[in-house]
Amino acid sequence: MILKNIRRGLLVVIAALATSLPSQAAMVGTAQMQAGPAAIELTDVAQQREWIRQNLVKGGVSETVAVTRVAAMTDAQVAEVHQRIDELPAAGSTGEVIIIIGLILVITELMGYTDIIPNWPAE
Amino acid sequence: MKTGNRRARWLACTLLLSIYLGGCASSPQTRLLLNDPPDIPSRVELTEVPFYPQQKFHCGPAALAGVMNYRGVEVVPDQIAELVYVPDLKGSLQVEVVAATRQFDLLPVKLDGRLESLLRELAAGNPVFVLQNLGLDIYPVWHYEIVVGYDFDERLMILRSGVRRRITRSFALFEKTWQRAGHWALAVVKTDEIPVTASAAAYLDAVIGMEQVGRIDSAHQGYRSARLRWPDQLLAHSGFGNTAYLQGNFGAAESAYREALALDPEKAELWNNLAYTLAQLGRQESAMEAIRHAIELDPENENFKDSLKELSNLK
Repeated sequence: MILKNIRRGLLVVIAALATSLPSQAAMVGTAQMQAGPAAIELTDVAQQREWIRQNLVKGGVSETVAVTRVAAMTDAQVAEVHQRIDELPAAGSTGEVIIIIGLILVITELMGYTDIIPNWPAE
Repeated sequence: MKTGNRRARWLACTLLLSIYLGGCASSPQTRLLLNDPPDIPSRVELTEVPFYPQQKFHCGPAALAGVMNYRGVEVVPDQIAELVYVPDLKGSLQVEVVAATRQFDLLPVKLDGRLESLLRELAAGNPVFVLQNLGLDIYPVWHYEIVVGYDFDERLMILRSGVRRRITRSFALFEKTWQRAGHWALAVVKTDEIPVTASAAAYLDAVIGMEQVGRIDSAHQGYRSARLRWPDQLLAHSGFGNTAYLQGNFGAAESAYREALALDPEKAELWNNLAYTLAQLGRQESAMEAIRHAIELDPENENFKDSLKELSNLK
């Protein structure tokens, strides 16, 4: 349902650009205006999108879902994730702490420097 | 003897760690805030922000569903997980969280990283979606949470977090865990709203993103809000024109482009887009004038030369 909406959104843009004028419309989008003449080449962006798609699939996202998820990113976001998917924060939960690190964290927790166990020790 | 040695070493380690942490454990924003309290209510709690206890690793979808429901969008964490969760990473990327909010026609507006701004947003009724690093820089424990309130007298932030509907965290500690996550915070709003502390640039970034992924009607509304609030922002008028054009509303596009050109008559891209708009309105002569003007301003631009060819053929 949601994924279908993304696809429809993209089709609207493509259709609007394609049908508004006989040949390729050369309207300048707002993002391009913002970026100025230094905007990255379209072919680069396409390659970066493909890299992200492949890595989402590698990471366990299904093929079809990965396509629509990459399509939902802006060019700037694509540049942010490209080549860095494993370095960026991927927040999930507060589990799976190795014992030794766990010990350090108990100390830091007691010192009021971390908050892995909320409201402990009591404020 | 041996045990004494070990104890000494342990003591030394703890001491070193304390010194290390002590050195970077300051909370400068909290100190400033307490020294000079802002002019806001001393206590705010947005109790009506919905809560979903997170499933394993799904703190992003759970927190996001809470803020979206608060804005009247009916969605459950599982639907959001489909858009943001990466199984092997056991979590969700910030980029995808931002992208997901757009898919529900809500604007993800990045806040400026000041603790005071968070409090001001809460006082204005806007819950704040934050990234936290609850662990250490060297051993990060990333976590998404919703800040739903604060208590200035007790110096506490009030949050929806993980499987807990309501937790509190001191300003000082919150500042540290938030600072370790790059002070990342989003206000998620409808397109007719603007977070009270949002800069024009941050708000327009969110709206431009909406346009780029093809949600033209929502982007158009966002630009409308932006040009009312910041009439001196070129991109607000330009974007309003561009989205009006895509909607087929060429009259509105023309007047928005002219308003933008009044701010910067030398912005060649605007003359280019105005030319297409005038052509759509059937005003060929003016269209040709506009595109020639764009080329005069930026003679090297191949796109404008193509535009000239294309518009000439329309005659």
